[in-house]
Amino acid sequence: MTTLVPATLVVRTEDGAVLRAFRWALARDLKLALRSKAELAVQLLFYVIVATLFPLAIAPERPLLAALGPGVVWVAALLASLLSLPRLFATDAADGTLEQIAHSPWPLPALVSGKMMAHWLTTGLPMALLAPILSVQYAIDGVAVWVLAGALLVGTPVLSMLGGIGAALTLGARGGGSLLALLVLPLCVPVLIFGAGAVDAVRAGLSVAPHFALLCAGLLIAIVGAPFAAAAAVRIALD
Amino acid sequence: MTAFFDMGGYGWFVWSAYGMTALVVVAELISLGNRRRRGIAEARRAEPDIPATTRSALDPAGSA
Amino acid sequence: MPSTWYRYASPATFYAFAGHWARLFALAAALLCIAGLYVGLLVAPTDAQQGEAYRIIFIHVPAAWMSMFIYLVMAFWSALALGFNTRLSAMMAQALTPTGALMTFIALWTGAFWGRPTWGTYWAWDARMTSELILLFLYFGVMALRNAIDDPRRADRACSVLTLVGAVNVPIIYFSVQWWNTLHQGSTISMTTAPKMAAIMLTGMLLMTLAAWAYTIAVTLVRVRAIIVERERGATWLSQLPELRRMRA
Repeated sequence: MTTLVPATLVVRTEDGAVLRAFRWALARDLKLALRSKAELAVQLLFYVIVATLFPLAIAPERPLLAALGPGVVWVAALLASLLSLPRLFATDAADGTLEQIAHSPWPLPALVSGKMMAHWLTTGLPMALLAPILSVQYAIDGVAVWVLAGALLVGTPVLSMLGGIGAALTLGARGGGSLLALLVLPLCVPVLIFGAGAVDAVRAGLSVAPHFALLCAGLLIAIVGAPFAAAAAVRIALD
Repeated sequence: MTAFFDMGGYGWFVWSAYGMTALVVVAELISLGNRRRRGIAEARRAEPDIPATTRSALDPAGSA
Repeated sequence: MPSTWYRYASPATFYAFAGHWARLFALAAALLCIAGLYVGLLVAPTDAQQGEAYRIIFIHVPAAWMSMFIYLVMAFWSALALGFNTRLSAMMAQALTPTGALMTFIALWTGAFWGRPTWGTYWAWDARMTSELILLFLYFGVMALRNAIDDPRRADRACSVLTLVGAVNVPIIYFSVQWWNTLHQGSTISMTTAPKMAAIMLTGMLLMTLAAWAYTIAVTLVRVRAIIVERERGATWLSQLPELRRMRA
């Protein structure tokens, strides 16, 4: 049962506090994000536009596009995720809400993972769902389309979580989005390799099980580690 | 001597590698020296009143 | 025992300690480097397959090893800084970063110039070189983050978290890049397989590796002293230093 107790007096985490904190943060961030649907649409548009630029810059030859396709879609998804990451913590930090959240008796890692989940639901998930449409541009067809969408589904949460760590670290630092990109992109390389590699594998007739196994392993490691790293970074930023 | 510089025809590659290494090492040492000197100069500027000695008329021997 | 360790956690004590050892390691580095270059460039014979071009490995291999080892040491100091909240541990990590980036750059540059005569291309997207390039980006990231945060203590903690997150990721990145490379590399060439080494070549490489170690330690100790002077401004012991009180009436 929750009672209004000053944060300084509460040192023990109540039963169910983790789940309640997660649900609260998730609901709040989703509500806030859905208030500005235009902003979400712009992010998705960026994803589509970037993916459209490559054939224009190279050549619209089918075999070339088919070879490039999975990689381009993945890179576009990565860059579009990065676009929306700063607002994960920045808007809350600006009006003091983040400080209130950090001082609450609820565990900060749980609250942070709720925010990351909300971020994924509003960026990663739509991008994974849009992938079949982009596949048409790149002559990816058949099972490969579903493999691409599935890989994005498993990989984009990892991007959201690694990005969340980066967003917390760069809170209030100069350099903004580019610094965030510099910090986060090298860490996302394994997801990129296995995510795009899965599509190549299925088109070569090989099994995608190892790729998805590794992507899932990455997801599990991120779920276990990223909220704590991000929570530590938030506390550092708020000091 | 020329054989040393020629490196069996691979002179360009070997000396580009060794040369760049020498260049960046020297650059690091120079920049480190500058950094140290700048830090000391700024620290001195921040504390201008500390005398090198505490000798004075009342205490000719000084206690520094 | 704990009291001895904590004594050196004080910037004041460490400053003198570092100065003394920096000089010794600098001397060692110079001697080892001269010996290593003598063996590597003058004594070691020409390689049967790669000709004189193989002599680049006397720089490339030590630099590559140091680039990875320095990152591990940075991660160690970062863990200490977060765990014990000591300023000096964070300053050590701060001092190591530029040298680590430098070693990584040297490894990449010399690797490219070794690759061109040996395998025909400056850059071949092989696993080791690609991982090395990503490591360079990780170093730059830590340096950029420190630069971007004004408060030094906040920057200490943020960079420590970033270094540790990177340290956990480095094996994952290396594994994934290696896996990616085995799929896409047509031949089984690895740009970093050294030629079969005669004992004298190994001696040269060992000497250069030790030289790189000693150089890194010397440079890091000198840099941490400069950082201490920058960050401990206002401390009495600092204003009493001979360097600061010289040339004053």
